[in-house]
Order: sequence, then structure tokens, then C-alpha cells
Amino acid sequence: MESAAQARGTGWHITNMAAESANQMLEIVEFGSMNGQASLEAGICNTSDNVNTNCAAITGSTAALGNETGHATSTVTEINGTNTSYSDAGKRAISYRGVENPWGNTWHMIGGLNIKGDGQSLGGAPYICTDYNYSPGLISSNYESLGFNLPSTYGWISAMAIGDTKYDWVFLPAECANTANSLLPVGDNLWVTAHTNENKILAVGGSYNLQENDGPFYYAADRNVAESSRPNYGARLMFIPTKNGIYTANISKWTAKMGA
Amino acid sequence: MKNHGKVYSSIAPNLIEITENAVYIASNIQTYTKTIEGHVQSGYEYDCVEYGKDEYLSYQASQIAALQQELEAAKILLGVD
Repeated sequence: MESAAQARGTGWHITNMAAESANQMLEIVEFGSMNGQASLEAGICNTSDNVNTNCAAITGSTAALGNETGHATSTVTEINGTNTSYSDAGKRAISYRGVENPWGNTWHMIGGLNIKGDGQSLGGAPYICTDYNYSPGLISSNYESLGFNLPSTYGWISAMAIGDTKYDWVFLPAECANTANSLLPVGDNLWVTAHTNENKILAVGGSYNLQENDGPFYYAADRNVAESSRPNYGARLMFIPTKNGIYTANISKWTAKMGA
Repeated sequence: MKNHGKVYSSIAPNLIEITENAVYIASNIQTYTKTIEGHVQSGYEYDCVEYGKDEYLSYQASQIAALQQELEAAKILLGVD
């Protein structure tokens, strides 16, 4: 997926953990909650699954919102050649500050985030890539440990771990205890494989069929590379601008505007 | 008041859950088990309504007033003081 993104040209990648965390932190502050579904809307999460067919909704229906947060008036889902338009919550697209379907519709892979499975580390140890030379499922020399393990039990998230100082902006689950539910404190679920011996990849957000599980902190940490080819798995594009004159001028303009 | 609709939990909820700032009322509590993409999920599903604490006090006061009215009406019907 990263190779396909880079093929678009210089600066193009699939979203990584830094991009994901930035949006998560904005959502926490703006919503005053980690429960995105309760704060904004369910997102596309009520479409029946078909393992052989991509049941994701067609993207673009929130374009009229621009960079506003909200939901589409209606969204079209195409299944086996038949287009159906839906206007009800759970089947229409949402947008968070211009990011369409930040959760629901299609799981999006997190570029450069692998889960190391050594059979000892609870639900696996997250490792992050220090550049854009990703090696899904492999802990190469350009990967660094976040300094904690995912919990070995899956379920509703009750506590978040924070990475070592260098990665203290990473939000990944540390605990799925019986005190949590689909409302509080996070409202999202975690999938892990306990004491796995296999390295995993990481996807976030959930997909069109996962109902109340979906949300900004819903992680699938139990999938290997081959399993990411399921119809409801994909990735989101991002563009990292080159720090040229246009970039620095825009940053200066933004800084002046924010300081005004 | 905020109606959260269906809420899912791995443990049975309390009918009334009071936190520092809010009161959560659970109703229609039922057990559920479902399998999603190979993951078995089981627990309790219920309807949940959230009140602010002041809002809940006001709600309780109106409920008590309504009950008192019904009690007075019943007394009149029964002919008791």
C-alpha cells in the first residue's frame, strides 16, 4: 500500500501513526471525549459483511462540507453492481475536519507500525518505523519499540498506553478491562492475539460492518500481512509537503493568523 | 439529557451509575453473544440515558411531585385522609 502511495509522486504516503495520533488528539480536545461515535455520529458501520465483496460506500459524499465536521446528506453504497443511496446514520459518511470516514467504512492500515509477536509479550509489542521504508510484518533495523505491550485480552478499551518519551504522542490500548463498555471510557474495541508468535500489522477505525466497535481508537492488532487483503481493509493517503519556499511562506502565514 | 441508545458491556451494568459529573440510567438489560470476523463478543446490551447531576435532581423532583399527585388522587378516590 505504501508503495502504491509513493508511486503518486514525491511526498505521498499512506497515513502513519503520527498522522493518526494528530487527528485523535484533535478529536479528544474538540469532542471532550474519546468516543467518536457518541460525539459525532456512528459512521458507516451498519452494512452487512460479505467476505467476498467490497461492501464499502463510495467516497466523496461529504465533499460539500469542505473542511467542516459533520455528515453527508446521503451516501451511495455499491454492492455487486447495484447502487443504493442511504441517508440514515450508520450508513452515511461522516467527516472530521475534511477527513472523510475517519472511522467506519474501511479499516485503514497504519503505515510503519508493526506488532512484534514473540510469544511472551501479552498482545504483542508495537514497533514504529523511523522513516518511510516500511516492512509490514517485519521488525527491521529502522523500527523502534514504543516501550510497552498491547494487552493480551481483547474487548472494550479501558486504558491507553503512552509511548516512551520520543513517542509520547502515541495512543494505543494498554488494558481492556470489564469496567469498560461501548460508551465509556473510550467506547472502542481492540482485537489482539494473546501471546502470539507471529508479527502483526495494525489497522484502525473499523469498517462498514462493525457497528458499535468502530471509532477513532478501534484497533485491529491481530492481523498478519496476508489478512490485510480482505475487502474491508485499505489505507488512507497523506501528503507531506517539501519544506520549500511555498511551504515556509504558508507556515509563516498560518503562524501570524494564529497569533492574531 | 443524552440518550445513548444501545450500549454494550462485558459486565452487567448497574441500573443507576453515579459518577463525579453525571448519572447514567440503564434499562432493558439483556445478554448477547455475536461473532464478528472470527471474534466472539459476549456481554450485556442495554439502553442508556445520561443526565447531568443537577438535571437528574430536577428530574427526580418532577418524578416525586408526579407521584405525590397520584397519591393524593388515590386518597381522594379511596376516601382516606
